[in-house]
Amino acid sequence: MRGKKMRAFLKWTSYVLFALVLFCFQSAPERLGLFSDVIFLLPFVIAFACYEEMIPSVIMASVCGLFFDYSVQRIFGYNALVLCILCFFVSFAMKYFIRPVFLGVVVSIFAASFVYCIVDFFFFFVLKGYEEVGTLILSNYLPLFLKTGIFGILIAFVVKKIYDLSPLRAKFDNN
Amino acid sequence: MKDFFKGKIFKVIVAVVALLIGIMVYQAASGGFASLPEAVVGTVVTPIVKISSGISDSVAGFFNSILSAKDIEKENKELKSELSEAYEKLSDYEKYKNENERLKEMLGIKEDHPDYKMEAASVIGRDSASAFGKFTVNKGSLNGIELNAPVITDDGLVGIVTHVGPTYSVVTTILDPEINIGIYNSRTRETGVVSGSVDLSDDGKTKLRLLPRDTALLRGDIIETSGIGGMFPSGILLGTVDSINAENSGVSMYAEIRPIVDVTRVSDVVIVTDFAVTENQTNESQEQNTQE
Repeated sequence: MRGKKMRAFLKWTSYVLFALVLFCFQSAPERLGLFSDVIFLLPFVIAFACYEEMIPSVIMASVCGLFFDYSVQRIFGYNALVLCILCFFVSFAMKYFIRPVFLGVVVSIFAASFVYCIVDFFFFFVLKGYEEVGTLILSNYLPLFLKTGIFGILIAFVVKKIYDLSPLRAKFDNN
Repeated sequence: MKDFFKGKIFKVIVAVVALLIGIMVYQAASGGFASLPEAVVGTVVTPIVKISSGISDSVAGFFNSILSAKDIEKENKELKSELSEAYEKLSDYEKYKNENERLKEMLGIKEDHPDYKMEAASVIGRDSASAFGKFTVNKGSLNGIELNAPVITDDGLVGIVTHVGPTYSVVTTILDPEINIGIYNSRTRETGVVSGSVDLSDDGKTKLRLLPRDTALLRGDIIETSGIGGMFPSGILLGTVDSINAENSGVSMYAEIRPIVDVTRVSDVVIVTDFAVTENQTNESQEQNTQE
């Protein structure tokens, strides 16, 4: 019993610390060129939603989203809402339709990244009526999508390893 | 699946989404000011961001130095080249600055003595074996310099040209016993001859000899060239009387003269290539002759 509690504590502490590190790295002003234009929190919350329960996933997504909102200084709550909804759908899909295998997690990350880019493009450029916004797709959003997806693979791997600390690791297997 | 939408989990999720929408609406209505939720998050996040920013600066700096090594090397070469150019310009600036100062000095002398024809020169070498500060300047016969041309500065007399080459000249200073200069004291109207002295040259002084025992000369009196003899123009400051002493013979007195110009340190001089014998000088000479 004590061992299970210790594992659970270690797991959640690891999740929180990893999220903080990703947030710090994402919001740091000085980054190497390769690491710029990457949303590190998005793959984290998606991978988290794939492995963990729905309510913790939604809460984690909301909190990470609020942190994300603070760093980008857009409408406060926007990213939290988007990540929350994305995580809800991913967690729902993982619960009822897909098994949380690593390939499925990676596909979910790419899909979520794609949806995030579309929504962001629509709300902040198309709706505002800017001219020649199409150029942003290749110059801004395509690199964002690809880099987030590629780094998401590594992040998903780390989240998987943290999840392996869980005493309830076999919950989906049992289902 | 249908039970899910009726269950507690779904209601909690809907509540979270509604809360987030509420935060967004509240933020949009805040008119640019930080809303309460944003302020709370900001309070928690700001210290973390500050620390991470400092760490990321250091880490990025470290990796940048490795990844940007080639760019840094190229920039280093360019900067070295620019620095070299800057040093050349600085050297040119110093040269022009010195030339400017020399020309200003010449202009000053010219204004005081419009009859002078002058050539500015720089000291390019000193005779280290000479006890009297003999030096070489960078102008010679090709510049119109002649033997025995007086050498002065804006302050006063320095010496005389004793050797002329095509592009250089050697100047013997007033400390040298070989040089005899006719002088005049405007206060006492006394004349005399100043020449260098071996024993006084170490102190940078020269000697006014054969003063009468009742000389009216006093310490601090200004000594200038008289122009008698025609070797030096008149009215050039030579120095001040430092002390008056009796000669060994006891018959006459002598004065130690401290030159106005420190001839051992001078770096830029003016060589007077031609000057007119002034009327004043002639009158004073005549007056002297009349008195005698």
